[in-house]
Amino acid sequence: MDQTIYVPDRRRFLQGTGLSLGATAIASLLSSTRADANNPLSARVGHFAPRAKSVIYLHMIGAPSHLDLYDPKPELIKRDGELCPESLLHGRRFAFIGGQLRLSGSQSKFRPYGKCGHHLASTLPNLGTVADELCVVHSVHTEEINHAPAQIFLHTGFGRGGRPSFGSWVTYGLGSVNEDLPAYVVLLSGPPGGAGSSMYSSGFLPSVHQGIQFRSAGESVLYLNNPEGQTSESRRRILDAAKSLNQVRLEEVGDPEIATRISQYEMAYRMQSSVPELMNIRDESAQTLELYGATPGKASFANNCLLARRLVERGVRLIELYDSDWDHHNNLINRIATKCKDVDQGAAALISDLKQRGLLNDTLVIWGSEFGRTPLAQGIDGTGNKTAPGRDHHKDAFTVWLAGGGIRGGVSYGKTDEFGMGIVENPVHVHDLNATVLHLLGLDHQRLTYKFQGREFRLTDISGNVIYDWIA
Amino acid sequence: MVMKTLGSSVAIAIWSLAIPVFGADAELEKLSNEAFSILNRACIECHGREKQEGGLRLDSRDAMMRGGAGGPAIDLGKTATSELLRRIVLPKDDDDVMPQRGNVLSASDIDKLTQWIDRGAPWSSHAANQPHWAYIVPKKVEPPGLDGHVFANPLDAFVAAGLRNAGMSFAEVEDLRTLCRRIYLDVIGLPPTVGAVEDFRSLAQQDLDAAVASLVDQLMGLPQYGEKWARPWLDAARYADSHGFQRDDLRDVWAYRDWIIRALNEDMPFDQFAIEQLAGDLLPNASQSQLIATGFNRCAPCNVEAGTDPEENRFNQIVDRVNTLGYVWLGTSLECAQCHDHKYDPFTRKEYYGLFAYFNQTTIEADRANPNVPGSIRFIGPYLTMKSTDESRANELADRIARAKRELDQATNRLAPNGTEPLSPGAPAGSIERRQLLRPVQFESVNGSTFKILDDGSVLLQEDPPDVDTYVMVVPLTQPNLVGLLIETLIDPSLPGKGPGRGDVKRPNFVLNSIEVNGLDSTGKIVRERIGLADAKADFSQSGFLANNAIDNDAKTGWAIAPQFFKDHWIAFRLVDAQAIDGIAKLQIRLVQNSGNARTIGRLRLSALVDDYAQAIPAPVVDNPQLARLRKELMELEEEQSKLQSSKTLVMEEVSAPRLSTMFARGDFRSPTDVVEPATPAVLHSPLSNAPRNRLGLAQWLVSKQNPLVARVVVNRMWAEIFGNGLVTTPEDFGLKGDAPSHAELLDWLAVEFMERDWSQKAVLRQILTSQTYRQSSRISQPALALDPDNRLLARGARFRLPAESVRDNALAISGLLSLKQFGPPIRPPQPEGLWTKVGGDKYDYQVSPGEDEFRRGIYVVLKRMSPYPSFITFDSTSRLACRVKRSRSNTPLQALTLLNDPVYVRAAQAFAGHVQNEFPTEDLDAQLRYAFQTATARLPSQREVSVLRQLFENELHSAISNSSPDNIRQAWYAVATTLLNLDETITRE
Repeated sequence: MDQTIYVPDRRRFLQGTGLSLGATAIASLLSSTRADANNPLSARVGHFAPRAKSVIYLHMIGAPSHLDLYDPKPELIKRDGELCPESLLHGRRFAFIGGQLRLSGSQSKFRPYGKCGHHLASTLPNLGTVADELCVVHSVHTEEINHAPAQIFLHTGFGRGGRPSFGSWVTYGLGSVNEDLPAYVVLLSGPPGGAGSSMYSSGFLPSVHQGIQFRSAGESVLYLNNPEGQTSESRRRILDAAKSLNQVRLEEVGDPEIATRISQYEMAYRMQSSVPELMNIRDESAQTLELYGATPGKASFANNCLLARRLVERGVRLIELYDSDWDHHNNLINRIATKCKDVDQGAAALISDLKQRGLLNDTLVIWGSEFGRTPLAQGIDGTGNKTAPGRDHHKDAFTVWLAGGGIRGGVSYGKTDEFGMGIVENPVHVHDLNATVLHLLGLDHQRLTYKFQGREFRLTDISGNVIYDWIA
Repeated sequence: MVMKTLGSSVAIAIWSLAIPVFGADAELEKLSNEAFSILNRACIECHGREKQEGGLRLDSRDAMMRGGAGGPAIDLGKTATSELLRRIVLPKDDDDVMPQRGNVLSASDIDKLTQWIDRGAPWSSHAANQPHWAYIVPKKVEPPGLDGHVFANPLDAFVAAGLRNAGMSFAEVEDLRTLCRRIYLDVIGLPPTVGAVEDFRSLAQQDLDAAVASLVDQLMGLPQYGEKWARPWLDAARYADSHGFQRDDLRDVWAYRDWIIRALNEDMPFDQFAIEQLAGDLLPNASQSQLIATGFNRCAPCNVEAGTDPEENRFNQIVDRVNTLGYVWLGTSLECAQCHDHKYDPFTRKEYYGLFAYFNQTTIEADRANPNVPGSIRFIGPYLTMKSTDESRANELADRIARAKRELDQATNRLAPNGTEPLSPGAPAGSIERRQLLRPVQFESVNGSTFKILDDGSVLLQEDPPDVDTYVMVVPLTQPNLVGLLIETLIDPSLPGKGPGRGDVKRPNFVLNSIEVNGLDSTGKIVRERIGLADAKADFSQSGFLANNAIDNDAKTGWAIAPQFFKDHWIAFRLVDAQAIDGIAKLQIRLVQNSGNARTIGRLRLSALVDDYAQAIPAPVVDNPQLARLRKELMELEEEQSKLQSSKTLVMEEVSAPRLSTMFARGDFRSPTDVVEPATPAVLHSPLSNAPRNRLGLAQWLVSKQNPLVARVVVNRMWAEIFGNGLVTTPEDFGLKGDAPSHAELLDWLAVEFMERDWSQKAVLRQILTSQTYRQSSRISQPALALDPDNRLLARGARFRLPAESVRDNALAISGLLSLKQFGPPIRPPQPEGLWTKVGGDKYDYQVSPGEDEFRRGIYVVLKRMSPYPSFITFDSTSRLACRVKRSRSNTPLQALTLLNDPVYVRAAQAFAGHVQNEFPTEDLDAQLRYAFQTATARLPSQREVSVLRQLFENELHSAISNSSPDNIRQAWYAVATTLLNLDETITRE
């Protein structure tokens, strides 16, 4: 190779001084990036004073039956096996069942819990101990009857992909108060939902707002660990060299993006210690582990609940837990009991633990799913053979509960009809639920907009009403 | 008529009639137009014809003076206290701020509105009646002269005029090495080699114009050009390799991606490019290539989740196609009009469904296999089977297959010289006369799989397998001395990995949980239930899945065959009581397979065993390792052959019986209302008189030179690809609320030029890349940053991070790993395990592509919509669930982690380290570091930069030596290479 190419570039050298940014300007660019309007994750105030600072969303993938957990229907039980009256079916859509539809009473045993007397299934004994914290909403409804579209609808207010998840909207609106962890964290127990990562995608918002999955196997965050054989000292030297060179370039070309890049590399470095520290639940007391039913090193919903509390303690804005296998088309009574064992203790422990640590007031906990299940029996297979009974997808009524973060505990809101099929009092559309969640965080769902492809988009599309009755 | 003062509404009324305007009036007219445009963009959605929040309208002067609930919007005497001004200057978080939604108005907008009210809020009825600029056919205006200076490239004249008005001028020319890299990245998306940089520099020092022009032409002639420019188009086309939604199966439409790359390389005129993609199938004597092009609209996601209503899915796909057409060709968001007339742009709901009607005539793409079973929805296609494009490989394969077959025959004969043990697939050995084929007269897959009964009496299951299934077969019973039954499970080229199971290419297992045999009378009624079965035998049973498990009446246990995949098997069983079938006309055999994950049998055949069970069953085959190897080899060859012969791709296909098209209330597919005919929106140019009223006619209309939008929209996107932002910064929205162009005359000039140059994209690109505007330095001075932070006036070169695919391509190229192999099925780079977890549909084993395929360009990386390649998503690529004409560009810690730790980049850094040592062997460390630096960034490092790298190198070396690391030099270079690949500059186009 011709060595002459390494003659220093004279013109460039002469330009090194003069018009480019002075050292003071560089320093201010570097120091101001956290609070800078250019930093999409700098902490910001919302439209009004928030009631909650963080949200923990417990999403039961597959759609648990409200009729077998939260919404007892004596009339339905009484008429179990009868043909469903035509009047009840008018205008309804089901995913799988058709033909002669029969009513299916719940085999769950219910009893009232707490001072408020919420009726819960006997499979949720631990949740019963925190009943007075819960606002149980029996009248949620949605637009979609299949899992993936309904999951996307719940998260983005639209049944097809491409729009941002509510977590992304929240970090877009409020930024992050933790500089060492992502603002929106996702934890899974079991396989992912049918909508995959589009449930926590930032859609058309910049990718800095996407939900980041913390995994219980392998690296907790993708590419968090240094490659094998690289020591942390060596990594630090590389980062320092890159930082020096980036600073030289910043002085030369003056692009504020370089300053942001430098600060993002520093955050990445901090994440390499903050994430493992967060994920290590061995430092929790035996008593706490027992409260949750958590076992260090094991992937479980209980562990994830405990991690959610640790994330809230560190100021992470939005945490979503997905738990799978709630799609009970057959053999519902046994399968739902198994699933309740998976989540009951962890969810209840989360609420009581947050409360005893004084965090519940600032943390909104939501338990819900993409839709509910029919009061009609499924469990006839395609050839007419009977399987143990289950229930089909149901978009017209299902139960969601909320706790903490400005929510009035002990409230029971909305009513379904005597069969649990339709809503007879205080219907709550998914848009209303999302509007209320944003409201509790201090965001006006009508003003939290992002212009994309010619439209000011919002999470609640063109509707949504805040439900003040839930708010303490 | 000339009016100097505008103090009264009378004067305004007169002025508004004044058509010819001069001097001060021209200035006033401009101000009025600007105010009008701001009001339109920011206010009219809520205070206009469709909606009047607070009872207020802002679409006429009278209405503004009259005001709404909060009093008059403007007060002419007291500009400062005008309600309109009070509200627009409030901070974003104030409850009263206007506009309520979206961003607050810019200082310049506020200033213009203030001046406008100050001067009496003149309302030019001319402006009010004038169509929005984007709906007027563009015309070329003479490029402005600048103090007699004539610009060689008219583009520069327009930019220079804008700069002069702002008291600015062009920046100096970019460092020639950096400029060379810029041209490379912009034209082919790959960096130049050090040699190419220096060649360009020495030419450019003599004649910059000639050097740039020649480099641009040279690069536009490379096959990599199409790969770079296909990326933004494929974002718009929402191209992906899977359906989306829960059943996110992979599908073949990569031939469409290749079509785009080829069409761009050939510089296919854009009108033809558009017509073939939208309606290639409707062209007379459509060629294979024209059919492949229609993959454009087949890229729409398809929901095949069990329980989905096929009609709802079809409806949603058409909606997607209409909306995509709006963004891609019209720069218009049409989707609001699905439910109601557009709130501010001139498109009605009826017009929306007029466009919808064009797309309503293609065949359904997902339907129920069994109309009565809602869970039986499956993907149909339609696919085009393509003629092979690689003849030499096809011939080679045919030869090798023939040879493998010969070897297999020879080996078989050697092992079974008397033919007593025929080892060829399909026929179990044993006493053949005691086995009689039972041909099914009925077959059903309970979960709706389609199937075919082959000539040999076997049943082959087809299409997407359901998770679990039960097969119900009915056979006539003619054997009086039946003692048992035999079921063969057979391989077939159409099954995943050839089967015999259906669920998985690598492990095509099945679990036969239970076999039930019922006796039927001649009418088909069950007269004997669950005939007793015993003594099950099989040629092979998986550990824990024994043959008897299939007849033990326990649906949790079953017979399976792992790891003996890819070959035929059989299971046989005896009737407990031979008399049980007396008087029976037919047998019904139910094969329950409920293991999940499509662990079901792909092809099967039934035989009766007669006289003596023990003698009728075949002797278990002992597999010979040599035969196994030969069979496996043959199967792999045949698999490749079948892929080569039957590559397929999704295409549009018109139905034979046209559907009735209607509007739909609230955009709900279940609520059809008035019938509509295919029609184009009235605000745009008239329909072509000689065009057919189908998709072809629509496509021809879109690329008519009378279309005011299409050329502007396309050149604007090209501009955005080069300058980081369009002349219109909202490339998806040229409507009333879109951004006004920064250089309207330049946009129009380029648009007309585009059409005049026979829609050549390369011509437009050349025009831009050879301009003085393009070659400016991208350094940002502090005054410039304050004056024009977004560089809308173009007083400097653009500087922005590379798109996701280029970040990877660039690193692979720098390190010497990049493979330039083109075309074909998608490739799979390394990604962390467990990401492709099955949710619904097919289960895929993510296997990294072999050999060089792993290192091919990002455009070829598989895109599974529900689990896209994470390192791309981190750099702002999308899962392509909907059309996108603009990507966001973020700067995050995950990007840092990816570049530092993703094995792809670790590998690149290792290779880069080796590359420097091999390509530039010298004792002079600084020279080597300069070479490495230049390889990564194209420019030469300063002494300060070299010393940073040298210090790093020495520290690493020292540390490696003190840790007695054997590869201490390599380790030190690895640190340098990692650093260079992680520089902001390296992932940025400067």
